[in-house]
Amino acid sequence: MSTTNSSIIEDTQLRANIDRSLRHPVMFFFASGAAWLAVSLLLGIIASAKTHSPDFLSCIPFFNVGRTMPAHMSTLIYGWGAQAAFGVILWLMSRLSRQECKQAGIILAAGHVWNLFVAIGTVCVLNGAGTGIMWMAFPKSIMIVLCLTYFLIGIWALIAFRVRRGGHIYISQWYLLAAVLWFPWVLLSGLAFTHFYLGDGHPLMITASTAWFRSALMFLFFTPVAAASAYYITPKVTGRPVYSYNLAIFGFWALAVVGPWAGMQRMMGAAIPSFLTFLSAGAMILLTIPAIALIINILKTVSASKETIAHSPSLRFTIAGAVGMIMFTAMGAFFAYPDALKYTQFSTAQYGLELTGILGFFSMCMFGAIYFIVPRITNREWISATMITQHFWLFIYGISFIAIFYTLLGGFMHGYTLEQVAEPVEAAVGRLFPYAIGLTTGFVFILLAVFMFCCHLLLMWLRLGRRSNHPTLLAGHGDVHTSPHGPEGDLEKLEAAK
Amino acid sequence: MENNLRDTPLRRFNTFWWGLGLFVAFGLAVLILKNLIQTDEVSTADIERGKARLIKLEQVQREQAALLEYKKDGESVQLPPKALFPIASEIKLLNTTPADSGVAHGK
Repeated sequence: MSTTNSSIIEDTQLRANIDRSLRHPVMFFFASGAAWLAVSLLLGIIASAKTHSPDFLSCIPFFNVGRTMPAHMSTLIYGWGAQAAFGVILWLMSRLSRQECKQAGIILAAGHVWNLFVAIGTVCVLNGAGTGIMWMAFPKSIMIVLCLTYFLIGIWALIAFRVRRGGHIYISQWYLLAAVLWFPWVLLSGLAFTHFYLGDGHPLMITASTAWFRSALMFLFFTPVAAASAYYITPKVTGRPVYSYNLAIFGFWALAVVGPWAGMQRMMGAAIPSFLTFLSAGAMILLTIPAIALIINILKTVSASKETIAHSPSLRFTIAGAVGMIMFTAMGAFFAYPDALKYTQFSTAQYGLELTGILGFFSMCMFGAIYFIVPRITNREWISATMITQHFWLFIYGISFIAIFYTLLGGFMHGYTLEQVAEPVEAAVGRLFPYAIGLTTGFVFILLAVFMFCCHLLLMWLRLGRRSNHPTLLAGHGDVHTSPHGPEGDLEKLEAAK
Repeated sequence: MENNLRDTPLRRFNTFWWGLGLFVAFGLAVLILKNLIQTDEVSTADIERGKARLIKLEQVQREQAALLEYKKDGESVQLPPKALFPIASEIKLLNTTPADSGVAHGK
């Protein structure tokens, strides 16, 4: 019995040491990522507002729609997406490998360099010095620096995995390891083909290689990180093992085999080999398989403890993220179907699909992970259950509006009008008007949600969170005398009793 | 707690350099792939087709120059629209009809 107790104490001590070793870099990635998300949404609102109210901020060339749009997407990808993923990768890999981080200083320094160059890149894009290539709008030199900086961040996750304790490799580690290795592959290939081999003289091939790059970054970096987080959070919070490990591994290999082929379906009808476009369309449809594997596993794991979804912020966001993934891949498959593609290829549906993937799927999983990780690394509990609830619902309203109203309805209406040869292009833009207002409204909802999240996260970073043994839950346990997160000041009482 | 035999300075050092090598290998793979697939050679058939296009280009440029003979170097000339319509009609710019794109993706 005493051996078991000492083993539990040692285990708790090890986890606390891991959390302490990663406190500064992980909090830095989360906090700066959240700030970039707010910046990105502001730029998105400006770009979107200009499509229905062209005179909005027209006196400032900095906010020209041709500049705000790529700046919005670049800050979303490299400011928020990449940094949230880095924080989750580093913490999860260390926890699952049961290894403390010994190079937190280098990671923190690399994080500062990453942020500095994202900021410089954003200013360049807003100043008109961007490349004009979506998801790679930063100048070439900045993309190279980001690539080099990534090495100083990602390598420590690789080392933590190699020197791990114990023999078992968890499914989350599979996904994390894949994301750590696929990210430089996708980034280097995208950069090399777009900027070095093709250059300015091949707009068609640049569009084709960028179409692949955008899809690969989504399916081979953001998706595995989100899946790793979902496979970690769900069993941890419910206290139950993953429903089917075989299904999880099958989902992983399905993603690894099919994921790299998607992307080129956007080039359907262009002067590139047609097998590429049809192969990509097929891959896009097949990508629903890993999504179905993920959602079956997650929902089956939580099915015995449904009330936990209502109580736990981490689990609620994670479940919403898993639903977002199935929605994203189903919409992607539908849009890639060749008969539907003529309506979605050149319409707003593609941009809406990207937003659904990054905000509705990836970001929701990342919020779930952040709500789980931050109390552990700051040794404080979240301050307000109300703020978390509002963050959740405002975000859900916003992204649902964007996915259903703007992406599905607006995308098809836009594409259908563009296909009408008897109607001028202005008619398509005119019919997009209500959907563009819908996009702006959706962004405003999401910005409000993110503002609350940023404030909450900042307070936690300043270590102003609650000192308690009870996690902040979103609903009470039926006892009117206790708050949703247990009695206040219980930790002080425990310490005084010692 | 049991000692972790995997965690040695040598293993960490090795992983760092193997990781760096792997990242560089991705770049090298792209370089090799590019040189294997995409060559700078232009096929002779393309050169022959290019000759025909160059003849057409010269002809177009000659005709355009003839249309712009009234312009003098260094001077900007503004023409009223009615002066341009006959020319536009002559070169069939105004009487085009939109093509049917109903089968663009149905092939």
